[in-house]
Amino acid sequence: MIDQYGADALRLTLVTGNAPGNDMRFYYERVEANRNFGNKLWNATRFILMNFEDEDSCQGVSLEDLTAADRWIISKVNTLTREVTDNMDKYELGVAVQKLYDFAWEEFCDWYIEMVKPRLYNKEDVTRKAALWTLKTVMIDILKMLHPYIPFITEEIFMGLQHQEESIMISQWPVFKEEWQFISDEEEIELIKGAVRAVRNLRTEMNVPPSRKAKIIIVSKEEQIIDLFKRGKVFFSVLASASEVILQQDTKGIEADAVSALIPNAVLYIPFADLVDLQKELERLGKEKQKLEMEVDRVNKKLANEGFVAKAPAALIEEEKAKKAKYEDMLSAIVERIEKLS
Amino acid sequence: MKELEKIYDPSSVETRLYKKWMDKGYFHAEPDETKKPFTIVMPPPNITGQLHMGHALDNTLQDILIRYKRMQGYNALWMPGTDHASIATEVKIVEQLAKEGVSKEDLGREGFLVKAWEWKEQYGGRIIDQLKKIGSSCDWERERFTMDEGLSKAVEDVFIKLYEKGYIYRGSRMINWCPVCGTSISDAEVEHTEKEGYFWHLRYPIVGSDEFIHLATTRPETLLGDSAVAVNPKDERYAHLVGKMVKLPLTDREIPIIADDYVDRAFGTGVVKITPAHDPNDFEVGQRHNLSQICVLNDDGTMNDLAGEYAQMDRYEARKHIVEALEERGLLVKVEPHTHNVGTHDRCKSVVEPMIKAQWFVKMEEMAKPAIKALKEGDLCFVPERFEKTYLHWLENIRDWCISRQLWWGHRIPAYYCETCGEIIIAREKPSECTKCKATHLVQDEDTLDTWFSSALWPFSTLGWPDQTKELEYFYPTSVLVTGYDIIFFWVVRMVFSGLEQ
Repeated sequence: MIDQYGADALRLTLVTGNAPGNDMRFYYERVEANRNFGNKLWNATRFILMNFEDEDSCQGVSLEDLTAADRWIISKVNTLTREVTDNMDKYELGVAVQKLYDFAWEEFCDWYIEMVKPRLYNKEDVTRKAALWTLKTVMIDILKMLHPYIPFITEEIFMGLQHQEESIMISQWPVFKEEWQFISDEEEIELIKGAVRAVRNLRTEMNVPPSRKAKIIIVSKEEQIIDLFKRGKVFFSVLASASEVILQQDTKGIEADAVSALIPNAVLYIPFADLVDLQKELERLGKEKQKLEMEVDRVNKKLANEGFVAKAPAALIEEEKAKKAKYEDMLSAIVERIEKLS
Repeated sequence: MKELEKIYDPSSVETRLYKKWMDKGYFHAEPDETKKPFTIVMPPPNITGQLHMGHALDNTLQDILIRYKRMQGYNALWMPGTDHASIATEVKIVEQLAKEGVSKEDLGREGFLVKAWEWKEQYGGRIIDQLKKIGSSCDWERERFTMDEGLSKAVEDVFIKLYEKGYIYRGSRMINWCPVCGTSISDAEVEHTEKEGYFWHLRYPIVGSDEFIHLATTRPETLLGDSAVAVNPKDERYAHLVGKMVKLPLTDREIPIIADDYVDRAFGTGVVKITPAHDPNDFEVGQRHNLSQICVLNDDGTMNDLAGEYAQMDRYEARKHIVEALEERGLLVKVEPHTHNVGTHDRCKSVVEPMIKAQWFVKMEEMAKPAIKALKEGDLCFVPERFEKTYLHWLENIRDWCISRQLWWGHRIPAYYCETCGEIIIAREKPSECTKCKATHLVQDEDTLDTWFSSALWPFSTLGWPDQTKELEYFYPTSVLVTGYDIIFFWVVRMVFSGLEQ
């Protein structure tokens, strides 16, 4: 087991999903999943390092230089530090590592890294340095708190990420810092995350490929909310395939067929035509309509054939009748849709 | 900036990093008054074979805690080692020898111990390698073994000290005997399992009358060792019979009918046969009524010479013959299926025999008290809390601890017998002459100590006790213990009272 997946994966599997005192159940697949978690950390660090020109790339950054997104993840990792330390002091080792796992995977890799990509790719961006500093700082705290659980990979990554300390094993455990608490930034980014999720859900429901960009209109009477999304506009293009983000106080100019979703204190609209290519869609629907008309015609002819009705078993006749009803229903739905679009 | 390899390769990285940590001495802890100590003592794995998933989990949890505390700035010591595991190891070695066609007796005690140490060298090392492989940050410079010199000295010291205090005594007591392993075992090693059995209803003729007394037993073969029949003193049905004698079937003995509160009037016929040598309750009744203890079993579970024509038969074979003989004589009333609790040996699963033997015991009542107090006053606590019940239940219902084992692999009991006058001398080394009669023929007790006797001292013996070392002063008492809930009474309880006794 250790030879194949490594000691870290085995250790992580042993301590997750078990409250103290319960008999342990062991799953081979979980070891593999936990090895993948290690790989996730590895690849995230490789990405971070790729964006560093040299060791000084994030020198001299202070808290004032951080953007809302940076302050959000810093504040989050700060809260996590307090909770994990508290859990570990209560010997809730499984609970603590689950929180670390979720934070590293979702908040840090899936959200934060995606959010800062535009800043990293733009060498002229004045906040690029702050992004690099935040990436490195949060990653190091995550590694330190994960070290007791997965000692090897955390040491290897730590030694690649910094050169001041000789080993993570004897480095200092992170502590909660008052000055790292940014409640309003946390709320702001969480709202943006909620809106991004709402857009993603709408697009998934309508089967829209990520490559297709769409306009997002956010309507809110509250100035605060409008300001907040103004600041967060950029995230929608990276995280929610937005072509542009329009902010307004009323629904003026929004077409009736726009799809919408409710988010706290605001409503979010996407023009239907942005999600779906009208001409193509009408063509597709037209073809579909033709096909269905042919089917309905075929069934009608069959049922009008006296020879068939007289000789065929009752069950077969019922089946054909059911088909007729089904095709007719589908046809009327298509017709309705075509009317709506044209 | 340094680049990370494209693909993370655990096997090469893990070996390299473990070596780095060892070379840098990160695992080693020295007493340092400027830092707060945090100590975990590893439950020593038995040298019986490989590490299993339970060990991997226990040791991962300990490593997580010790690494966490180390990073918080504590002077963290994780004390490792292995356990000789007396009976578990001896059984394995005997099995291995059997494959080579050799018995323990063929080798003799000395020869057997040579084999046992070879076993230790071979398998003890393998377990340590596995612990290293999972990343355990133990202070390997301090690695100990329950039978190494210092720890053996601690064992002798405790034995002598408890003997002098009157807490260790030699006595004939009812103990649990495993006829297959040929050794006594502690209460904790007996597993109680429900088994299908029978109630054989018998009748014993009353001397000087035509009456019979009707009773039931689950073990008819022990009839040969009966020394009384008992009823409850308040049971009016039998009041007129108390004091009379019954003729014990299949023997020429007459035994009394006695009255004792132990008998439950409502259970069965309200009459029980009393076999002091083969049942712990009957043993107590026998003590109260001064009954003779008639042992009819050999150590290997066969019937002995006192069993007359049944001598040398296996206990279950004899049972069949005895039931047949009773039936022929019209003394078997009926046979009734009956499910009852049977004690079995947790290692070999054979049915344990209660037997009276001369053994060494530790008096527990006084020693249990401070251990109960320690929990109630919050000097120690369990996570999760529900295991406090297991701990308290064991201590509050404690019986004297039988510590002698008829085994060779372990700490030999430091007791010497004078072959001339029978005096018992407790000493670290063999005395040159008897303290009483000055005779020079002294022999050491053949038995070894229960394996838990040495592990009970583990948290402090590993730190140098009985010497007052600077490690003992600084790192003891330890901070946390991570172990399985199945050994709370075997081990945890015993460490607590041993620790408090020192």
